Amino acid sequence: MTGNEFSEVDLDLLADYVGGALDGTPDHATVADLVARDPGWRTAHDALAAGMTAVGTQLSALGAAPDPMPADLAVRLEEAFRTEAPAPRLEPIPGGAPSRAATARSRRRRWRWAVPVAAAAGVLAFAGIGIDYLARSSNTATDSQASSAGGAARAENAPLAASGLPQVAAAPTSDQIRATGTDYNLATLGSEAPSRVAAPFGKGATVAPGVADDSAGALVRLRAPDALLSCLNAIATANGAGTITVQTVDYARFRGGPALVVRFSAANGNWAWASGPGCGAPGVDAATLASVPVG
Amino acid sequence: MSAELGRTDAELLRAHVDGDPYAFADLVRRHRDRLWAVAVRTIGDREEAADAVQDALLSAHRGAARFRGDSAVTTWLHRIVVNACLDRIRRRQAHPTVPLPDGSRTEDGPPAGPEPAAPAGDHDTVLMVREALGALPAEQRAALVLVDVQGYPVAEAAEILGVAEGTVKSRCARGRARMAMALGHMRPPSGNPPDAGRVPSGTAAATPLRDRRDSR
Repeated sequence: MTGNEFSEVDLDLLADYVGGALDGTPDHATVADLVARDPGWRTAHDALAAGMTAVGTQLSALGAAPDPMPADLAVRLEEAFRTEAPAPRLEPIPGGAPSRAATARSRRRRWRWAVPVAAAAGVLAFAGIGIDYLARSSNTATDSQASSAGGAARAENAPLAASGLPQVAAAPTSDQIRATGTDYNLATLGSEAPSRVAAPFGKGATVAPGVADDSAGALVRLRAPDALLSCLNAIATANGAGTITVQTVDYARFRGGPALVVRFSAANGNWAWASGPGCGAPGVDAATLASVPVG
Repeated sequence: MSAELGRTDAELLRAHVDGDPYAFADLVRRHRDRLWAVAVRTIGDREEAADAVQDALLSAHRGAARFRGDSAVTTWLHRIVVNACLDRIRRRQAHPTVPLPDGSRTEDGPPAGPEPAAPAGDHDTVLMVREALGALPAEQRAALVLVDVQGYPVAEAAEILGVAEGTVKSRCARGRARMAMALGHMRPPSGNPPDAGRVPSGTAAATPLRDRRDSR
């Protein structure tokens, strides 16, 4: 952070010193010596210390201004928690229809909860049960799938977009999954053209193939089909353009770190998307490292 | 039925995992204003902050059983919210061409959406401070929001961000320094030595700074 006016001073290092980040390190004594003996460092120190104090005061004042959660967001959260009540307390509703709240929510423009595929599959396993949780869409076909005896089996083969949420149109088949170990960067991420098209969901997606180079197992979690699908679903949500059709999945690297590189098409075009090992895990979302348009 | 006020955060979370359909809402109700404040001040856009909070808290709702109890529940909730915010900021930077529903965000600059309510007083100064905060690298901004704006101890901010305390101190210090330059706070003291040079001021002064944040 050395500006032209302080060409002889490392302002990042000086800021660390002023902010106490160097306490207990050898650099602390070094910078203290420079400040004590070098007029340029001393001038910069005095100016920076005063400026940082002023900024701290202003930021503190910013925090003192009350800004409570908007009421509509609070209500939506309460609705969502009620709708997504823990599974053991969900009551069977044979042929259940969408609740008024759920229907209203489906019309809300930005109400885009991502439903992990594994969780949806688990709920659908309640064969013969219509559950309010799934009744986000007014699409009665979805309800009939969930409420019929064969609902779970049919849902497995249906496009996940039937719920009206950002989802994966088709789980990747084994021949779409690669483990090249390629170290991509922003310049190369979009350069590899997709070579295959998506296959129907539920076919050949039981086990991801072995991973030759996954950065000492950092991507092992994503080899499990459920975790992989959760990740793809998270990417669809992050992309924000509805259902994605996965073309390839590559267990690779991005800028030296482990990354799942997914190529897909969606309503907003074709994309190459690099996600970190936490992709799809609770609280991590897509763990996006980078994404670039392809073609 | 509502969870009684006497239950701790950890007890509410446990009750949620055990099937109490009201416990998680009660837990969030306790902390939602602080979670919201962190989100909106980190992202700088109310609509996107709302999405981040929604996504994060639903993730927490679903993943509560995985909470290991190695941090306070509120720290865990903040971590999930902050991660959701940082993820959105990074995505916005890496994926700038996605059309936005409200069309209010520019491709390169900080979001142009509605700002949080300004306190009474010097409105222009508040806007400038927000703008300078929004121009910081996301990691520095998140650290400053937690420590300087929201007043969390450095140790708790480090836990929320998943980094060492020294890293939080460094991010805060460098963020404050950048903001001081951008806001024109670095005035040369009287009696400068001739070779001390001119202290930069104004927003443009922050532009040529060498970003060493990756080293922390």
